Amino acid sequence: MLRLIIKVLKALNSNEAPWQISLGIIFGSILGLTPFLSLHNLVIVFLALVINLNISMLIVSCGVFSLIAYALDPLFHQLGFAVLTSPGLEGFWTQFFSCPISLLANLNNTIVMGSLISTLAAAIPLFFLFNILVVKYRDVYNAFIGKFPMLKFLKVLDLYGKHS
Amino acid sequence: MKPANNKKFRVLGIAVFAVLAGLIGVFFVLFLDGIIKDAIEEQGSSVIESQIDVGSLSTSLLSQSMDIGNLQIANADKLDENLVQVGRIKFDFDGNRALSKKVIIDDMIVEGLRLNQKRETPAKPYKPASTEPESGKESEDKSSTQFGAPQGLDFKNPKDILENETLETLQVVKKTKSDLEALKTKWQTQVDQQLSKESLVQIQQRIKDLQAKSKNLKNPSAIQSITTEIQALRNDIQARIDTIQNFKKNLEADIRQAKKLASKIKTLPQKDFDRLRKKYSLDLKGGTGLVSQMVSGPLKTKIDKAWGYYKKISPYLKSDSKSEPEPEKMERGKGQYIKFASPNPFPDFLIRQAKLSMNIWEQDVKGGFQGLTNDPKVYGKPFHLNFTGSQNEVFKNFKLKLILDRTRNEAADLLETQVDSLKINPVPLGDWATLSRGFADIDGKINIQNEQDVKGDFTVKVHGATFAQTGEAANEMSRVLGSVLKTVNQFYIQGVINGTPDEYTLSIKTDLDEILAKSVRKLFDEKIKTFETDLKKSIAASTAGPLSEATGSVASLMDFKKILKTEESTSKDLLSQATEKALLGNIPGAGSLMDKLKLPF
Repeated sequence: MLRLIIKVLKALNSNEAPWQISLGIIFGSILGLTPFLSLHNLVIVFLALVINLNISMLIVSCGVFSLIAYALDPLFHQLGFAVLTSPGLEGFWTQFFSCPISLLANLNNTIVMGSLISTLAAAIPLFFLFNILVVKYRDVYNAFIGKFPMLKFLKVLDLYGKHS
Repeated sequence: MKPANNKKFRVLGIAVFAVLAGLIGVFFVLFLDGIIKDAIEEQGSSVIESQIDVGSLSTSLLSQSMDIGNLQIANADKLDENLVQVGRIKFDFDGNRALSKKVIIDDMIVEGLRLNQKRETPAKPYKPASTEPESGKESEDKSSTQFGAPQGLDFKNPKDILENETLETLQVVKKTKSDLEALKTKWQTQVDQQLSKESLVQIQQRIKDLQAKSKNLKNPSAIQSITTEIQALRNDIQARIDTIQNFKKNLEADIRQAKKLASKIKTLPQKDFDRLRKKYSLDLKGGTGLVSQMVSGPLKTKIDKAWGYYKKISPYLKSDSKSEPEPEKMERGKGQYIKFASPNPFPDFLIRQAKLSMNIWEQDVKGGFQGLTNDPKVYGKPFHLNFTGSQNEVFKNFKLKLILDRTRNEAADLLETQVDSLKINPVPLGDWATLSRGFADIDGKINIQNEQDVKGDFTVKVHGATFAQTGEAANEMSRVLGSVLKTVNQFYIQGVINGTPDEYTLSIKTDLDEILAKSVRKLFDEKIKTFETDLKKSIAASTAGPLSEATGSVASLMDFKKILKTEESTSKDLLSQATEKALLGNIPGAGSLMDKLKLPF
């Protein structure tokens, strides 16, 4: 648990841009909240490796969201069921699932569909929210460190120890 | 401070992904066979609730084929036996369809198919052991104990039989007797209370008193008073007569009822005799029925086993393409798969055709099937299975045809089989004989409509039969049956099945029973007759006493009839004595006075 907190703090206090941390959290939430062994998660892993996001944040976020995913399953199921059985979308789904890849991706499963829709819908607002929070955090943190010369000195020592 | 790495993409990530994907690919190539084998053994066993063992399995993704060696599916009800055992299964699958999660096999080869083979080690139970006794086993046991040794002619002593049996005659007679006694008591009470001797004496006394009074009549008022008394007396006598006549009517009805009961109980000894004769004697009029009953037990076991297979297969052949999604069926953490109509509907599972080689009676027969699918309505063709074999050590010709047609709303299934000159292995007929050799021609056909309505018949014609007596005959009957069978070299068994797979009737007819019955009847008729006569006499002796007592009770009711008749006649006499003429006839002026008074008598 302590390591987890240290990892988060380290990521937050690193020189990486806020979008890298936010995207790490968002990708981690998709991996954690949707069934892990799904085809779309292969795409997420690929994107996570190619896009220069914070991998530590992704791993921590994936772990944290996995813990709450099970509790959210009934909600995901209800949402997925409503979307997949909506009369207005019947024609669309029929066409969509005539493509073998859609079936292979288990998108006709209520939990996969429900969780994927939820996480993707939440991804963009959350991305911007996390960006703002990271910037705010860094402002507060730097102001706090600035008030205490001893802490500032330790921080410099720590960075020196890491990179010497 | 480390310089910020805020580039949007990292090219190295592609390499890392490629390496990861490659490692996963290599893992699959190396371990796919093991994964599939474990999945079949573990998940397959859980699904069918019976242990599945796979000897070897190899998959080729390039050629899209799979080869399974030594597949064993244990019998869940008999763990030391395999339900199905296959030497090798080889098939090609359609990779494109597999992407749509459809298992489509165009060609399959199944070699070394065997049914009901002993396992080397007992299988692991996957479902709780059934507490119900196996019906087949039960019937087998029954057949071997009840008919293992035919009942000899050591008839039981009729006296011993009657000691252990309750005769219906005695029970009914006891009840009848008590009913008649109650009736008798009722009549005795009624006669005593309403037709008592005291009341008769009183009437006689009143007549005497009136006669005495009539001698001293002096004035008209005395005459008027006596005529009133005469009238009252006559009324009382008439009431007594009415009561008697009423009693007579009721008594007639009671006697009729009692006679009816008495005549009914007279037929009961014959009924008891018929029941005990059936139980302890031999009814040879319809044949011994031994062979039919011996055959029907093991045959039912085999038919039940066949129904077991049929019921196991049937659910997998039902079309589920029309099923509507039900939200409440969601399994926690697994969700629910929603099916959508496809522009080109196709079953999820299909084996278009397969070549089979099966080992039956230690002989190889070749065959195949077409159209095994989970959705016959969508596929549009019924499932066909055929096996043929010819000219070998065990039979001349073997044909088996099975059609399971679920393409329409009503299922129509057919099983036809024909075996010519099947060499018979020694078949024990109870403990008294063995069919040691012979050849059987078997013809059978079963139609099942809608999985419920079963109609079928079969004929087994045995020729070149040789029977041998088994050891020493247990009794005279066994000896006779054994020696009769030695003369038989051909016979037939015909069977008809009707009903449902769960509840069906199997009627079996064989000329062997008639042959046996004829011989046995000839030899043992005299003994049977003696036994039956003795039994009849014993029943008669046991029931004669109680029967006569019951008849006596009816006679005692008749006594009341006599009593009532006497009472009636006495009362009528008294009524004739109690007339005005008789009592006042000698008094002067009484007649004119009587005229004036206009008495009604």
